[in-house]
Amino acid sequence: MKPLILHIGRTSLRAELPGRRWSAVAEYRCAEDLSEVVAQLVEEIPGRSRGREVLLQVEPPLAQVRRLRDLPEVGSKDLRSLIAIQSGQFFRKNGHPLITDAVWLRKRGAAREALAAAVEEPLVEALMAASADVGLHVSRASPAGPGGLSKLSLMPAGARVVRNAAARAGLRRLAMATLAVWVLVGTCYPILLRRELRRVESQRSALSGAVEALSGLRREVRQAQQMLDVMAEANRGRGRAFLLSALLSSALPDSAYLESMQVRSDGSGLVAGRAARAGDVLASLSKLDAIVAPRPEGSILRESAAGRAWEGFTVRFGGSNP
Amino acid sequence: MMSPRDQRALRMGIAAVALALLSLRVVPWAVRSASAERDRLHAGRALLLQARGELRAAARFQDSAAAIRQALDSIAAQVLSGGNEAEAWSDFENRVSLAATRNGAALKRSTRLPDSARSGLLRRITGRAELESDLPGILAALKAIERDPVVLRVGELRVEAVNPASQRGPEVLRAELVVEGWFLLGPKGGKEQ
Repeated sequence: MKPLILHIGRTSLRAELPGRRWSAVAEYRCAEDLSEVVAQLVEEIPGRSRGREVLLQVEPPLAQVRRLRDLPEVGSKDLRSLIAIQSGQFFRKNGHPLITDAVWLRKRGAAREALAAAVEEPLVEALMAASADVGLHVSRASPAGPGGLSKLSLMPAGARVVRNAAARAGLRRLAMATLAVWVLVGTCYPILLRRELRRVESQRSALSGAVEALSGLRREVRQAQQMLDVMAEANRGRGRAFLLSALLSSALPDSAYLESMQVRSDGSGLVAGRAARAGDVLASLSKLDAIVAPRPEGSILRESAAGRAWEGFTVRFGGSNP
Repeated sequence: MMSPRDQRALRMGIAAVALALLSLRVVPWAVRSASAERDRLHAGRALLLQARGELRAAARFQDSAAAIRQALDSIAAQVLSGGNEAEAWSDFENRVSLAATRNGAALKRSTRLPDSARSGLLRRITGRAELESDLPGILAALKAIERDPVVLRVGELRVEAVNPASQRGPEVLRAELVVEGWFLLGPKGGKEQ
């Protein structure tokens, strides 16, 4: 609900609702008339009026506004006290107590300047009482005019105290509510966290049997795969020793005979014996693809036996150290 | 009686101490605890997701496991009989001896060699066999060993003439074979030496 603005002049009271483009004016003669005038205006307000907030704008000359220079360089709070105490020096009193307020326009240096305002207290109190009678609540009173005037408050001291107390109470309530929310969050978060953790743990334990069984199965399969690989590897190396031995024995020339032979499954080995010509043996072995890199080892021993000349040979093949 | 000012100072002091306790002890402890719980929750969730993923993939895995099991059954025919080393060695000796005698070679000696090779339930057994025969006999025995239905592999073969200087009489060769075979460890085969 938008606030109602009440402009109070020397003899007139103008009510205005800015949002609705509504305004009304009523005349009054003295502070005692205000109760009746305010009630009359309120009746004309379109829509609901009870509980509406009121911003009071005090028009000159009721509001006395002064620009004051040569004041001592004091803080804002002390400035207000100074003006209040010496209000008679700066404003007309007409035998009534005044409500005053002041703010610094320029606080520092020789050209410091303060803006001060005052209004007769009975007038504002009468207006506040009249407003309260019709269910309105004056939340702010300031001199009418542009610029820094809106910073000045012409609320009575008692109302200011009440207002400040209400603001403090509101702030306290807000702080308590915030604290309560944090406490609630701080309490609920671990509880929800634990509950979620228990839920996850229970789901995990429900699955653990199946997962363990699956892990066991995986282990078994891995082991079985390794066993299959081992048997496949063993099968691959079979027959090589026989093949090499058969090839070696058949490849030797008729004039040669074996004295010793070594064959390994990796394809390496050694063959030694005697032949009419050792070079023929090496040549025969070199023709075989299965015999890798045959090479003579040691020197050829020549001897004669039973009327024949023999050459002793040793041929190595395959790896370097059979 | 305390003055209102003293009471206010006392209240402020108590509030300050309570606030300090809260902010320096209680709140850090609560934050640490909550943080640890949250980490546990994240880890638990990750493990749960992993477990669910594994179980989802289990059906696919079981198909391949069945195929491997089937292949594993075929291994039984390729290994030595017996569920322990003694029984397997006995089968090993029999097979080598049979291969030798059927092909005119004499098995002079067989010795078990130390071998610790293993894979799963498979254990390797290695032996050295000494045969005596002529070259065709040695080769035939060798062929018989390597073509045995059980996978026996000759890792090394040494052949030497018994009397190389002799030009008379039949050829006599001594062959030394290092043969490897595998056997499956049975349920009671854990005590083998």
